[in-house]
Amino acid sequence: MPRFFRIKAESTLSDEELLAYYRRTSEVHYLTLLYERYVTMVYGVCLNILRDVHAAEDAVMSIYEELVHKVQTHQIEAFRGWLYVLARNYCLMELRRQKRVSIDYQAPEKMAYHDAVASGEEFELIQDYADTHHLQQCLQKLSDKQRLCIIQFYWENKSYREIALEMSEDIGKIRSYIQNGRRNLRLCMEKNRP
Amino acid sequence: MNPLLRDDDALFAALLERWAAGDFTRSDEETLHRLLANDPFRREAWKGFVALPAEAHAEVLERIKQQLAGQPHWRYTSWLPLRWIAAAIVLLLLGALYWWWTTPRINLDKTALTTPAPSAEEPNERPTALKIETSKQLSTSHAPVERVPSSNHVSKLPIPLVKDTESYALAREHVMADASVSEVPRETAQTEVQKHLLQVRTSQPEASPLDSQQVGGENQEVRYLRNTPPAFSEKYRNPAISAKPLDNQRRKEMYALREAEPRRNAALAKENLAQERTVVAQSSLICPADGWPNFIEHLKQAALFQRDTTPDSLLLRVRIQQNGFPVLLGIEPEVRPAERHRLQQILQRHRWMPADTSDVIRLILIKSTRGQ
Repeated sequence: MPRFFRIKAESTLSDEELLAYYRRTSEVHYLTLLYERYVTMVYGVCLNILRDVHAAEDAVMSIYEELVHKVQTHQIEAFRGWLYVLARNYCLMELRRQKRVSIDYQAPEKMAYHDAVASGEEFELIQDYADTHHLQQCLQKLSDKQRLCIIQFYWENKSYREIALEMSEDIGKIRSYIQNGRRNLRLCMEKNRP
Repeated sequence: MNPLLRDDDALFAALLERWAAGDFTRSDEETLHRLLANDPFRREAWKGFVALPAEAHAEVLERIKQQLAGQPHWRYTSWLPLRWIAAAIVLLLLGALYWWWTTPRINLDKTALTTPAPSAEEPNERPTALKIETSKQLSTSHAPVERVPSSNHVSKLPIPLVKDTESYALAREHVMADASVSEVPRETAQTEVQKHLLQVRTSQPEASPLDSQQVGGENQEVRYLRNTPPAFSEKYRNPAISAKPLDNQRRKEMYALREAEPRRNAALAKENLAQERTVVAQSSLICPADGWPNFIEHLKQAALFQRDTTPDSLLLRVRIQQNGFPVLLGIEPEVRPAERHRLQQILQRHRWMPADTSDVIRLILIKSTRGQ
């Protein structure tokens, strides 16, 4: 069967089916297909724990190598949850092995990022108070770059890349401006909330 | 897995990649925040990405995917069974080595029997003249063996009663013992031994007694003689009797004897082994704490030094340690490693005195046969 059709058929298989194929045939190809579905999320989890891009990249590949052996020997009911626990434990062990700081500890320079994670709540704040006087006041308190990025992203619906092109900045910096601006905006609005 | 969950995961991953690549918009953020609800895996992943917003995550993700795609399509094989197989092979080899090292082997090198090969003209007949050399033991305890007279020609191949080499050696001892008890002249005994050796060495299909009887003659008589106990064989060793044809009574006796033959052969062989050597142990300084008789009894039970090549005496250089434990320092003359090992074991079954002493134990191995 041509490879094109074969891959298309395999991509429609569920996690459990791919897992069963791998267990039955021991062909790593099936496991790779399965892992590719979650590799972005695994990378994110490793980033959150290790706080280092290169360490997270190495961890993602090491977890894959562990999977090759562990999937054959472990009884796995739900691969997704099992992979999450495996990835988390691996990164924690890696962190412990490197004798780095505890994961609960956040360096001061990273506190902005840590606070910025707060999910959709702050996004709702922006939506709710978009036309209010408080929001306008708080926006004025932001730095120019943060304010410009927030406005372009939330009210002009521009993407990071478009903002970066317009401001001649790196995409990563635009992300940082938006995250930090959003955090400061939330703090300001909570302070001024009636 | 829930297909909706799977689709959401795919969407979430796509949004993360858009975020990393910079194509992320406000509507993407709305969707992403909706997907974060009640899912710790996605929430922690998102937390990781936003923790390092300025990094080039898109490149890293691309690199990871390339590495995964570049994985060869190899087949995972567990090495565990191979490890077990390798361990089993090693154990088997070690076991075989141990068995080979410790199992005593009968050395028949000194016994040379040469029989001329049958000629093409006489394919079914035995040669008329046999050249037989007996073992060292035979030649030392009895008169030298000369060529077998041509009158001892065996026209029909005999029945091999003892087929393997070990039994062959035991049977040889048995015949020698019989010969020594009886009053038959030494030359006659030697001739019987030679014939017996010939019979044992020759492995041929078993012939019926009646077939054998038709051959007749002195050789037939000899073949039955070796099956008989000493007292019984006395009667039939008389050349006058053996020359007569077998009557019915004798035939019945012979049948009965042949039936009881294997058990009797084994018993006699065992008895001969036990009585073959008498061991005397001497030492001027040291002795076993429980006395020499126990030590000698253990030596006898071990049935060591039953080979023809075993010397008449052995000198064991032994050192007695502080706790009375003996250490075998050397044996003169050298013996086989298996015998040395066994001897050391027997030595160490006893506590010796006096402690902290070195001495030589002289083991005198007296060769003896039954009746001597």
